[in-house]
Amino acid sequence: MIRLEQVSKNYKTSARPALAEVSVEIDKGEFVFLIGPSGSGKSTFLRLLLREEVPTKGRVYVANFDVARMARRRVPRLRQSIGCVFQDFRLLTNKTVAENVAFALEVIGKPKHTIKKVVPEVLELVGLEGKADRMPNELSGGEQQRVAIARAFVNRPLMLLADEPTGNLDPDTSQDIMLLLERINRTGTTVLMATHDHSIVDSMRRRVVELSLGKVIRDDARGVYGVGR
Amino acid sequence: MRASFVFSEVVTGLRRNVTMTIAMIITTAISLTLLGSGMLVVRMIDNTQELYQDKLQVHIFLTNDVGDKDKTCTQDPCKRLKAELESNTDVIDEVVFESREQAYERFRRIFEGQPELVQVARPEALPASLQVKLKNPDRPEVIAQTYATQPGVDKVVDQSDFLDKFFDALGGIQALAFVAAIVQAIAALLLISNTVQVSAYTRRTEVGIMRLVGATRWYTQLPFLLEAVVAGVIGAIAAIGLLVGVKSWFFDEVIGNGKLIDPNIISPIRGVDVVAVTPWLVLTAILISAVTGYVTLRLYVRR
Repeated sequence: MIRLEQVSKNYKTSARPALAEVSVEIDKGEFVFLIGPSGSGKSTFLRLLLREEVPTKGRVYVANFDVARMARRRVPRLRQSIGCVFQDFRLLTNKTVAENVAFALEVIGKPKHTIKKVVPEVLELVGLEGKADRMPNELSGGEQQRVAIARAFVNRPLMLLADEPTGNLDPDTSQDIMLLLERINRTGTTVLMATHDHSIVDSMRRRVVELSLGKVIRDDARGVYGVGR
Repeated sequence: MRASFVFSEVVTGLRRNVTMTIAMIITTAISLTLLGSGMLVVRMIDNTQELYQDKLQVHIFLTNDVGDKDKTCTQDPCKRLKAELESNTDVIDEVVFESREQAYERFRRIFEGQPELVQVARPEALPASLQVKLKNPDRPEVIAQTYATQPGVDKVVDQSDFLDKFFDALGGIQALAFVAAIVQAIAALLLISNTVQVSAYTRRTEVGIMRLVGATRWYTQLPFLLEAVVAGVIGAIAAIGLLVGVKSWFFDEVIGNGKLIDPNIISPIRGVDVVAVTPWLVLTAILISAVTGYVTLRLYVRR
């Protein structure tokens, strides 16, 4: 599903590479934590998958896309097969919950009748069936993140990238979000989650890829956050 | 592509940015009005030139004593001059004699609109002339050279000389209008570019999400582009309104389009001319706003 081969990424502003010769392979349906301190290269890793950045060296494969070399006009197709969730939710404050989710489908040209059908389905999946007409600022942080997850998942992507999705949430709410991500993972969707949250990583016992100064220093099939240091 | 989505984005965008949109429409309108005025003058010159194409003549004015004595050009030197001209069939198409009385009649007809001018004029003040129509109107100076010094000839006037001067004056006005139009167009261009940038900035969250979920460039950028084009077209429509005003006020009232001067001498600006100019204004507006919008998005907005 995801394969990085000897990937390096240098930014002009820094002498040290953000990623140095990173090779990682993630299979379809896996649930993987990407951990490491700030500046370790997690964000660059995710950005390479979305083709927000192009690697300086090496190859990146996502699904059937040769991400680093594909034509620019095909990038939207790649992104349509990847769902994204962020720490700051990134909801449109002037649209309702349902409209926020529908927006993701409208802008890729999905027909109205499809949108009408799938939006309530996905809202039910994330547990927001009664809140379709609420505005984002009327919701709790956890609920807002559920909307964001619904929006990321509504087009049934092959994989879900989550960048610190629990960063702004209290531990209980974070736990709920993790349960939701697990549920999405059980539908066959690959989940890659970048996080700082020790307790979540420790409690989930999933594969852990740890980055430090742009290098993979650990790749455990059933890892915890702190072991090995 | 869902047209309704793009359309609603365009409307929200223009409303959110309404002061800038109005500024953009006003500058575009003024620029296009100036451009249109310049184009009207061009048409006026063209129409007038066409009017003269096969009528352009060289007038050989006869001295006063010849004009007084010989009313029908049956005596020398008028008769001799006429015969000589007519024999030169390679260059000359036709020679017509116009007596002082005929000249006066023509003068009255031309200046019908200005009775005070007609009142002061007397037949004696107008010279008799031989009106020479050339086969090839490109070289009237040959006649002037040959006949200016002949006995009985007062002077040789080449109509094209006068027309050239008139067209030069019009050309000056027209150049001025075009220069002003260009200056305004630069202002309009910068405003369009700025509006597109502001518009894209205020909607960066939406655009960010669009990019992330895999919207194509058409979806993310077309609304901004159309915003610029819509404002441009509204500006063009305003410009057309202004141009109709310019025609009916400036050309018709002040210059006295076709009233002060016989419409057969200087072609007036007609409604048809304004109509002919309008599609060019709309096209220019669309082209400039679309190109500016596109270049701005390319340069300043990440995709």
